[in-house]
Amino acid sequence: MENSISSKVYKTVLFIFSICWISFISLDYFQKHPGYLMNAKVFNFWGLYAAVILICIALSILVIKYKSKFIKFSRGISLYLFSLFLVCITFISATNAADEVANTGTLNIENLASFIFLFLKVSAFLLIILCCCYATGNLFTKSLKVEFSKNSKRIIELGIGIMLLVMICFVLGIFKVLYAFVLWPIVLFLIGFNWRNSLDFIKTLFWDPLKISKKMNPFGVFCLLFLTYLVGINLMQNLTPWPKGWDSLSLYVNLPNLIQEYHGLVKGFQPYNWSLFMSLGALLFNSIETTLSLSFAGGILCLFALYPLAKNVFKLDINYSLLICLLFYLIPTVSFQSFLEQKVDLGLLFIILIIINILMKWSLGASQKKAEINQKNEQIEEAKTLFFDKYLVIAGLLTGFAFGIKLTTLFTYFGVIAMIWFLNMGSLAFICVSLMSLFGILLVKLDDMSGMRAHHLSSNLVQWFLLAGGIGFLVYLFMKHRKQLIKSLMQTVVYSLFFGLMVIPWLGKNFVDAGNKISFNYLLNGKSNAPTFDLNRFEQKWQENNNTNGQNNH
Amino acid sequence: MGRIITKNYSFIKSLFFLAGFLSILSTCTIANAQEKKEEVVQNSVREEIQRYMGYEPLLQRYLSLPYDTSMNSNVQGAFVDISYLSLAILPIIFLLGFKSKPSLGIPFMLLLLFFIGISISNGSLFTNYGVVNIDQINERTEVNMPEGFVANVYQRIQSICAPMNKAINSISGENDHITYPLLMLIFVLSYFLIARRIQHLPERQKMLINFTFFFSFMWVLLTAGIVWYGYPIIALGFLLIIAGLSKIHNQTDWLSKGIAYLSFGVIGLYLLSSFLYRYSNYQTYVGDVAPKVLYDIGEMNYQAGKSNRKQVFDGFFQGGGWDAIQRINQEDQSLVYRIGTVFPYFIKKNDRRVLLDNQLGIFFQLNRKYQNKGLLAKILKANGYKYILVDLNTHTIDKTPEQTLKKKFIDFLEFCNANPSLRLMATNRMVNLSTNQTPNFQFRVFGNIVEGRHGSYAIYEIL
Repeated sequence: MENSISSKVYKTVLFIFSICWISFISLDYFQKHPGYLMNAKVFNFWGLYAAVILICIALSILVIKYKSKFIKFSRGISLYLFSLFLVCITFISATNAADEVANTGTLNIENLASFIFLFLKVSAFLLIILCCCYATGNLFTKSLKVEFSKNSKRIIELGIGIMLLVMICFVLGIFKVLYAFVLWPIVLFLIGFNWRNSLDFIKTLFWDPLKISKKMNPFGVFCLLFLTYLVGINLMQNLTPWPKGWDSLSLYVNLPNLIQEYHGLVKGFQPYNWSLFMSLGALLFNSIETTLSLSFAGGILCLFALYPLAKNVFKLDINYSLLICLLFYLIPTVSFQSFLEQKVDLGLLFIILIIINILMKWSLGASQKKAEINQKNEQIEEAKTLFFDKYLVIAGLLTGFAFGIKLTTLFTYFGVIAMIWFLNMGSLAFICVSLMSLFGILLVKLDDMSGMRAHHLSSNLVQWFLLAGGIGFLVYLFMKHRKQLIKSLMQTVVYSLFFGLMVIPWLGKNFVDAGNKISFNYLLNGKSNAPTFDLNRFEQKWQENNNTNGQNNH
Repeated sequence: MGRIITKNYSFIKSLFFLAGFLSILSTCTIANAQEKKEEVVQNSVREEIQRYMGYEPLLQRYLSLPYDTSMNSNVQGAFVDISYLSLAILPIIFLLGFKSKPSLGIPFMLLLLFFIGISISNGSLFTNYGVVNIDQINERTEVNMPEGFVANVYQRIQSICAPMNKAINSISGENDHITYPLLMLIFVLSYFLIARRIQHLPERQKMLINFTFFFSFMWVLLTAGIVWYGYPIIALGFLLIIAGLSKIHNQTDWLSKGIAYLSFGVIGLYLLSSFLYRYSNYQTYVGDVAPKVLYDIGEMNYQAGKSNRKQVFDGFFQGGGWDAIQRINQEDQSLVYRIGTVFPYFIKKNDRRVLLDNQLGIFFQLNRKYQNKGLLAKILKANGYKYILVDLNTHTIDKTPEQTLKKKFIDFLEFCNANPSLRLMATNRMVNLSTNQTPNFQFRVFGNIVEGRHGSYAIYEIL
């Protein structure tokens, strides 16, 4: 069969199809994105472009060829300095070009020092905040006694720490005491209380030698160096006196601005956990650059969260894992949010990737436990561990936190439940959860948020069919895998409870903001103080005003 | 062995049960499709959010979404650019899983062709620095490579797909009964196809792929194609691409090796071009000085300690924006009516002072009731509004076929034009007020706009 003529013909067709598909999509893309070609025609930085790539390539080859000599330099601090060096070259290039165009004046040493100082200052501010988050997260996981794989442990703890620090800010925000003199003691206490691990975090980040895997090739080193440079230039472009993007100016950085103005939570708006996190830059350091960089930091953290997924789940070698990170970080939409539009989506993605990392760890434990329990047949032991599965608890808390960043986390919430059910009972359980989730979404009219529901004339009917389908599968699962179904239900309850726990504060805030009115819309979106429009009221006020003026004139 | 057969049997039985179930629903709803409403929903959501998804007939809108998102057929810009890699490589990796199963591989290829056909035949093409519909291509004369090649393919695809589109249009439209049931059916059937394709993978990888698939479907269904709501799909998508390619690369047959090399080549090309694009600061520059600078000059001067906040602001917003904002901030009680612009960020207590009307829905109602522009300004004033912020490019986001936003914006400009109750405080639009050959350039909203100085904002005070 493998070598038959029909098989050869089929494979040839497959090959030709693949070539045509990939070629056409690529050509079509460049046709629809003329910016790539047009910019290449008028591009003014070929020298810089070539220099950066060649420096990275040369260094990559040298590092692999003279591994033993480079090993002592392979530390976080070296990477940071390498990035700073290239960023300075970029800055000098950019300012020289600007001088040619707009006579902005040449760059003197004082100007360069000013730039480097700003870069170092914001890096240090970021480090302090992230270190505090790590210390907090580490304390939390230590007290829960949960373990993670070596290459995901720190980043998960950092994610958990961000969640906890934001919750502290939320509580302080309720009482309108978000002042530097209140926050600094808390930050210092958290770092100081866990000083060993805080120090260890900084040491690992900057000083401990990086382990160059035997499998690492020059391409892997190139990806790492190039990524470091990209992070550097993105940080450089965050050193601005205010955000540049539409959404950041209108909402995502405006909120930290308002939080700093009121020293408390801002009335209304959808939950804004990540903006609260970003406000730490303004509150602790009165530095808008740090606020902006906390948004950009979401992108870097995503890389650290994506890497262990590639390594642990897909068992990819370090070169491929770094390539994934580079590809992700270089696509325009991600770059755009890293230096032009400081939003919360990269922060949200980071938390979602952390949740997935935790679930991957949990699934490993769950499979092992399932095997052990099957061997021992100890049902009581199984039931005991179900109700308080620490990984699910943390995943639930983080999902609730992510929901407080953006409501689209609901996809993640249902997705996680589908994953849990899939792990326990397979594909049909996945479909069952999917249909039930879709039913729930249509029932509460979440599809109305994009305004698309009005176009679907059968949505009311479809939701009941989905429910019927879901129940059908549920009955089937009950008959076939009763024990597993009950277990899945319990796990769903545990996960959902802790999800709810993190959502409740925001719902409570929105409830109070809305004047204790219970409304689905108000609970999710809050009720702001912004002026509202009502045509009749406008008319009435105009009449009142006319009358007053008439009386005054009279 | 027997257990596997029984398991597969119950699996297939369920599949047929569900497919039949949803097919009946689809058939029932087709019968009702004739009742479709022609009424166009004129609201802000349609103008602001649905533009990412496009305005094709409903069914095609969803089916073409993966293509549109990769190609940015509906909304252009770096902020929605996710690259072509997922669309180019992921389906091929999936297809390679059926390299020894023609019974699945050939239908899958046909399915891919169907999707690309639907997407392209309802799409648009970018020629001569503008987006045009396919049927307008012939009117363009300066079509060159790659436009020429792509345009040619487009036209052929459109003629081949014309009957198919006609058939779909007869059951779908602006509103319909069929799209939701069909989407649900596609979701279930696709899942079973994916489950078949990944059955040999470890449990954790399956979990991750299932999660990605579920998230993707939710994104298609609920987000109207807004790219950043689907970031997890992009990140996990790259993970799947590279994981897939690494496996394919390790296989020994010529087919796998060949495709792996081709894919890595395409990835390499993308890395180089996207880095160049990154350096270009994501602007589509045409004959300007802008490409000669790496990023904003004001920012550079700020970083170098050469400029303060005000100077940077003036660089961004010429025409007195800073002074106008200072004036607005002299007190924090008067209200501000806002049509776009980013200025609220700079206004104190902007969360309680600014009325948002980006899509001019409020203005539409006011203007319909009070057609006298002097009166309308007085009514705003009576309600506490003292300032108006307006984005002079508001109309450019309008992608609706009916151009509803554009019409409202023209009415709004008419309201501002020569209105004795309004005073222009600041604008960065430059007009030539001269009636003879000697130019008289001034910052104004109305007049002969100087080329390249269209401007982006205006701030008015209501007198």
